[in-house]
Amino acid sequence: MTNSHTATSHDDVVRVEDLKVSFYTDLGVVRALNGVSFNIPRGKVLGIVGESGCGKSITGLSIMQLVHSAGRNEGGRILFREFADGDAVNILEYERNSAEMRGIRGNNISMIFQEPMSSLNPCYTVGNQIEEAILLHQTQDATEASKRAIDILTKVGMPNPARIASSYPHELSGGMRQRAMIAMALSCTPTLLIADEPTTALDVTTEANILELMRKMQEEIGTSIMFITHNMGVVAQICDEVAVMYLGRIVERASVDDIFYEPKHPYTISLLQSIPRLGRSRGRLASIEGSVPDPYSRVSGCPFHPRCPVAIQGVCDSEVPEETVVDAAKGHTVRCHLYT
Amino acid sequence: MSADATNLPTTKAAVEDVGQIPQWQLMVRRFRRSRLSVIGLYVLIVLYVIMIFSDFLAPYDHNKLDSNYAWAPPAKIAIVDGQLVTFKLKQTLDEVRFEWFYTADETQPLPIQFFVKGYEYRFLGLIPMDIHLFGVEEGYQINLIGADKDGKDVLSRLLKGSQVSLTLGFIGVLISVIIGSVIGTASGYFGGAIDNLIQRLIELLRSFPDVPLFLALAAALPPGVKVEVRFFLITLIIALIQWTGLAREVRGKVLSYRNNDYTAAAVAAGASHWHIITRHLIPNAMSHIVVVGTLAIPGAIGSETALSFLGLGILPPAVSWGVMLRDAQTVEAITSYPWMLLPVGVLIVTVFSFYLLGDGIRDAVDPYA
Amino acid sequence: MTTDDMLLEVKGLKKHFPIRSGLLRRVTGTVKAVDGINFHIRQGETLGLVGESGCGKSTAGRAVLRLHEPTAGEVIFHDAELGAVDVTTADREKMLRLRPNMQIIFQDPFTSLNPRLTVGQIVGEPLEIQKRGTPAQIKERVAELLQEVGLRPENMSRYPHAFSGGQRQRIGIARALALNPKLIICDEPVSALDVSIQAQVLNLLQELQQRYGLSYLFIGHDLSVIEHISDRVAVMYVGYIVEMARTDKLYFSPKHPYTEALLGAIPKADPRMRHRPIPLTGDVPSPANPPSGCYFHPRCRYAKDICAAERPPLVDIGDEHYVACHFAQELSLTGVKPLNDIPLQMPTRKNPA
Repeated sequence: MTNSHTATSHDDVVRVEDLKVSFYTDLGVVRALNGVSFNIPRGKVLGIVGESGCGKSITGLSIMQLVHSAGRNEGGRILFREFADGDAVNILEYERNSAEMRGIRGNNISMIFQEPMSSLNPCYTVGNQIEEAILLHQTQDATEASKRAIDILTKVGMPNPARIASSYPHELSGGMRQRAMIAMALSCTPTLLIADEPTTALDVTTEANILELMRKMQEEIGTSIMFITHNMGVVAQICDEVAVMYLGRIVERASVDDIFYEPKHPYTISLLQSIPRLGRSRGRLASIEGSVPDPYSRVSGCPFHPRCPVAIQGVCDSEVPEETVVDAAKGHTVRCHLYT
Repeated sequence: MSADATNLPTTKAAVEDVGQIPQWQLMVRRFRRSRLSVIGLYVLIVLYVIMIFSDFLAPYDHNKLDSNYAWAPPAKIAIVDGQLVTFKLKQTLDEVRFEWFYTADETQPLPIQFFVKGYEYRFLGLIPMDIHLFGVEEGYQINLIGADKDGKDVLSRLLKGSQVSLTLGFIGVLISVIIGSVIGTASGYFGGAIDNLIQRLIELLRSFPDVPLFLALAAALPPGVKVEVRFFLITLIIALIQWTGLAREVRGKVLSYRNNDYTAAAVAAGASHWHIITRHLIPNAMSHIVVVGTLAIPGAIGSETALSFLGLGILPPAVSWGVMLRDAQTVEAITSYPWMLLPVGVLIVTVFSFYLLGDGIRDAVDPYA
Repeated sequence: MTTDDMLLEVKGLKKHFPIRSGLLRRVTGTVKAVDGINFHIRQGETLGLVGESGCGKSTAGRAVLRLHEPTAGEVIFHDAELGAVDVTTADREKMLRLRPNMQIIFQDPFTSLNPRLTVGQIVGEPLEIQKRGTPAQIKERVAELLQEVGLRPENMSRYPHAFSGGQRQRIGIARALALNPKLIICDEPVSALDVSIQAQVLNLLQELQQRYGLSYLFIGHDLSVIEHISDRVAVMYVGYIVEMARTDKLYFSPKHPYTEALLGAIPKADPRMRHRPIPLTGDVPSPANPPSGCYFHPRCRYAKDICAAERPPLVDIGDEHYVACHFAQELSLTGVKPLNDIPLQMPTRKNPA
C-alpha cells in the first residue's frame, strides 16, 4: 500500500488511493490503472498530465464510475468528501447504477469532455439539456429550472442566453458548444468538475476564452477542478497542482511551479525538454527514445525504465519504485529509484 | 520483490507477428469468432455439395410418372434380416373421400440397394454417369419423402430443383455485382455529369415496381425456348434488376476512398486513374462488395422462386423449388399431403444461412472498412 | 534578395468550392476556402502556414500540388530542367515530370496509409508509378528510405496496423522522400501525435532538411511548433494571408491585429507567465459568407470605417514583412515574450537534483 501523501493543510475534496482498473479483452489484459493515488485539494485545479495510453481519461471516468463495462475495478478507494467538515465516502462502494451514484453524477461531481458535438444530444435544445440536470437534482419546477438554465448560460458568457437556450447544438459554433457543456456541468454547482481534454479540439483563440471562463467559474463558484490534458501550456496556465501519469501510474506530483521549475522524475523532465519553447526554440528538441509500449504487455519494475535515459540496471527493471516525498510542505512527491 | 516484478508472457497476438498478417486474413479470423455465421457457412457448404451430387443422390428422374404411386406417402424404412428395406405399397381407394391411400404391406419387403443403375445424367454437366446412391428393384418405387399427384418422387424433384434454385440466384447476383461495381466505380470516381446521369438512371430504374417489372420481362420471354436458355434469361433478368442497389453502395464507398490521404499521395506521385482505381479503390471496396453480394443472394433466390411459383420463371418439365411450390398450392397438399411443403423448409434454411453468412462477413469486415 | 534560389512562387491562388443544391444541382453559393493568396518559398527553407480551423491552410497546401484544382492563380515551380513552370496549367505529360519535385505528408497517421498494402508497397508505390527501376531496384531503394527515417528495412513486409502513430508518420515521410523531391507539403504532420513522438518527428524532418536541402511548406495550428521549425511564417484567416514574415519578426513584433490576438492566446508553458490576454470575441466567419472589406474587421479592436469597406492587400512594409492591414504602419502591437529559460538536467544517481 503506497503512502499517499496529501498536501499539507488543504483538505481534499477527492482522494484516490491505489486505484487499479483492468480491461479483459480477447487479445489480452490491459492494466489501464496500476495503483493510482493522488488527491484533489478543495477549491483548486489539479492537472492530470500524460500522453495517450497513460490512463488519465480512465481515471476521470472511474471517479464518475462511467468506465466502459469491459473495465473492471480491481482495488483501491476513491474518497469523496463533499463538505470540508463532513465525512468522506468511498465512491467505489456504490453500485454503478445505484441511486447514490446517480445522485452524485451531475450534482456533486460533473464531467465535461473533449468533443462537445458528441456529448450534446442533437435532438434536444441546449436549454432542455441543461434543465434535465437541474430537474434531476435541484428542483421539480419547470419554470424555475428554465430560469436557472438561462442564469448559468449568462454566467458562462453566452451572448443572448435566451436564444441559445432554445437553439440546437448544431446551430452553435465549437466554442459555444463547449460553453454550453460547461454550463450543463456547472448548473448544479458541483463540488468537483472533471474536465477531460476540454480544449484539445478547439482553436487556440477559443481555447484561451474557455480557459479564461473556467478560471472565472472556479473563482466564482469555488468548484474544484480535475483537469485532464496532454498540453503542458494549458497546464501552466490553469492548474494549481499537477500529477504526471505514465502507463497507469502517477510518477510525479507537485505544485505547478515545481513541476516546471523543479521537476524530479526523468519522464517529466524529458517531456518538458521535448516541447518547443516559445520564443526560444531552435535546433533539436530533446526527445524520448522509443515509444509507449503495447498496452497488452506488462513492463516489469518501473514502467518508464525501457525509455529512461538514467535507468539503473538491476534496480529500475525489477522493482516498482515507491512514492517518495521530495518536499512535504509543498506536497511534492515522485516515484523514482533515484530518490529512494 | 513486489508482485509486479514478474514479466508475464505477452499475449498470443503479440507472440506471432500480427504485423505480417494481411487485412483479409485478419477479417477471416474475426469471422470465425462468430459461431452462428460459421454455422451458416457450413450449412451452405453442405447444401451446395448436395447440389453438386444431386443427380447421384436422386433415385429417379424428376419427371418420372407413375400413377401407382400418386400421392404416395413417405416410405417406411425398417431393418429386416439385417437388411435395410422398404415395403411394397398396396394402393386402395377410399370410396368416401375419393382418395387413394396407401398401406405398406409388411409381408412384402423391398430391399434397398446401394449404388444402383438408374437414369442417365451428366455429372457436373460433363461426365455421363448412371449410378445413383440408392434404389429398389425395377417396377417399384421408393419415395423417401413421398410423391406428388403424378407419382413423381418429391426427393428427386427437390434435389434436381436445387440445381436451379441454388445456382440461378448465385449467378444472377454475380452478374449484377460485376455490372454494379463497374458502374458504381465510374460514377463515384469521375463524379460530375457522368455521376449525375448514372444516378438519375438508377433512380429511374428503381422507381419501377419490382414485381410487375419482373412479371413483364418474364412474360415477354418466348415460351418455346429450351430449358437452359430460359434459365439463362431468367438469370439475366434478375441481374438487371438487382445491379442498381450494389452500384449505389459501391459509389458511396468509392466516393469516400477517393478523398483519402493515401489516394492523394498516389495522385501526388503522378498515378493514373486506372492505377488508383485498381490499386486503392477496388481492393478496399471489395470487402464491402462481398458483403452486399452475399446478402443479395437470398433476394435473388426468392425472386426466382416467386417467378417460378407464378408460372413465369422456370417452367415444367424443368423443376426448381419454386415450381414445386406451385404444385403444392392446393388445399389437399396442405391438409393431406404435407410433404409437398418441404421446399418451403429447404428455402428457409438456405436463405437463413445466407443471411447468417452475410452478417458474419459484414461484422468481420466492418471495423476495417 | 536574390531570386536564384527561388523554388516556389504562388500568386493569387484561389480555390472556391461551389455549394450545390436542388434537383439539377445548381450552384447556390461558393465556399471561398482559399481566396487569393501570394507567397514564395526558397530552396532549403521552411515556410510555416498557420491559422485556425477553416482558414483554408490545408486546402492551400493541396491546391499547390493540384490535389484540388485551383480555381484561379498561378503556382510557379522552378524545376531544374524545365525552368519556371506554372503547375496549374501544365498538361498531363509535364505534370508527370513535375510531380516528383513536390510531395506531401499528412496529418492522420491512421488514414494516410492504405491498410491493405505492405509498408514496402506503400513506400515503393511512387517509384512504381514513376517507373523508377525494376522491382528489385525499387525494393533496395525502399530499404534505404526506411533506414533514412529510422525504421528497420525488415518492416517492409509488415502491414500498417502493426505500427504506432509515430512510426506510421515515418512511413509516410519515407514515401514522400521516394522520388527525391525538392519541396514537401507537410499538412499538420505532428498534430495527431503525442508530445514526445512529436519531438522525434520534428527532429527527423529537420535532419532530412539538412541532409537533402529540402524545402517545407509546414502547415499547422500549434504556434510553438511552427515557431520552432519555420524560417518564415504566414498567417491565414478565412482564406486569406494576413501577415507573412521571418519567424522572429512575426512572433516578436507582429503587425496584424489577428496575429497579435493569436499570439496572445497561446497557452504559455510557464506558470510564472500567466497573464490574461485580451479575448478575441465573436466567431470565425464562414468562408461561404465572409464579411465585407477586411474579413477580420468585425472582431478587430482597431477597426475603423475603411476596414469594412475595402479589403487591404498584402503589402511588403519592408524587409520582406508582408501585412494585409490598412493600419499596419501605425499600430504598435504586442508580440510574444520569450519564455523563461529553465535549464533542466537529468538527475543522476549521485546527484538527484
